[in-house]
Amino acid sequence: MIPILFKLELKPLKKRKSNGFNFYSIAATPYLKVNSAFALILLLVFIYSLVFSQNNHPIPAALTQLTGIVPPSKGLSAAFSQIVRLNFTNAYILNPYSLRVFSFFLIQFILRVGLIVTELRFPNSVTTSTIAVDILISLTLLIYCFYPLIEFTFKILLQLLH
Amino acid sequence: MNVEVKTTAGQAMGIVGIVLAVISLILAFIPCIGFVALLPAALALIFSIISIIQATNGYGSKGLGIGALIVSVLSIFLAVMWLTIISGGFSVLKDLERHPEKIEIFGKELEKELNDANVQIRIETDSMVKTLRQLEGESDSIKVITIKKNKVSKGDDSQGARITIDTDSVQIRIEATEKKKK
Repeated sequence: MIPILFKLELKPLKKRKSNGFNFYSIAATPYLKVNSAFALILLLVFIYSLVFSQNNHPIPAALTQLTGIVPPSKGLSAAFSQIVRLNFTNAYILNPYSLRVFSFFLIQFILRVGLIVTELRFPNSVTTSTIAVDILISLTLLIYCFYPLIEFTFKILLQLLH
Repeated sequence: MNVEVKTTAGQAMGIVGIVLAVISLILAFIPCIGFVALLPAALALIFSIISIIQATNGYGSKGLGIGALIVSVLSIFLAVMWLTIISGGFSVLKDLERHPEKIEIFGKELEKELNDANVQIRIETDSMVKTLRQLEGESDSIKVITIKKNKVSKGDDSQGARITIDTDSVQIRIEATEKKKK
């Protein structure tokens, strides 16, 4: 008689349960709440750019009007309006950095929506490392896309300190 | 074995704090409206402090509160910087309001400088609105017709340049001569 060394049990693979879009779980995790808030704010930015056209923006270039300093952000709102209307050349003429800055908002919006959908479809899929990677990517993207504005800010700061 | 169980104390305030802090940081890096970041940054600071206190008392996680606190402090610093610059601009404007003769002195100095450099700027236009539209790129593009750098009629010791910008409705002619120092 052959001794039984191990017993092989074949069990059917358990299907991973998915709650689908459970909107009650929005209240469950703070990460989902933060993502939802940012997605909503970014959506408002796009709507704002769509509602206002090149010549009727309510945000004034306060810095230029009061000090005469022309920052790299001048004409950014008008350029955003052109980008959402797919007039990329006009947007570049209005502000050469606008496409770079707008890409940050667009990538962030896609990322936020993607993360919301992922967390709703697969609860507990978002771990601490996911959040850490998200922060790292977002921070790198912010520095890259806003680099001309960040550089200008720190130049002004250095002038002010001297 | 002691198992530390974290509660949700301070979580709501932390979420509001981090959202406001990130918005204020992005606003603070936009120079035109950088000073506006002061309001959301101040609110983020308040919410983050409340979050940390609530989390400490209720054994909650302090991560969100601390994150919001750091970002909001950085935003406040940058917003205050923009506010300082803008208030500097305000004070210059107020100073000019009090002493309008300064504008006159500046105008005279500029006129003298322009006369010394022998620069003439002449703008001929029949429609300012059309011109502005052209400049904004809504209409035909501006064509620079001539750029000449040659010796001008005032003797051989002078050099001059002439730029003529011509559109449908505006002609801008800039002529400049420079006298050679003997």
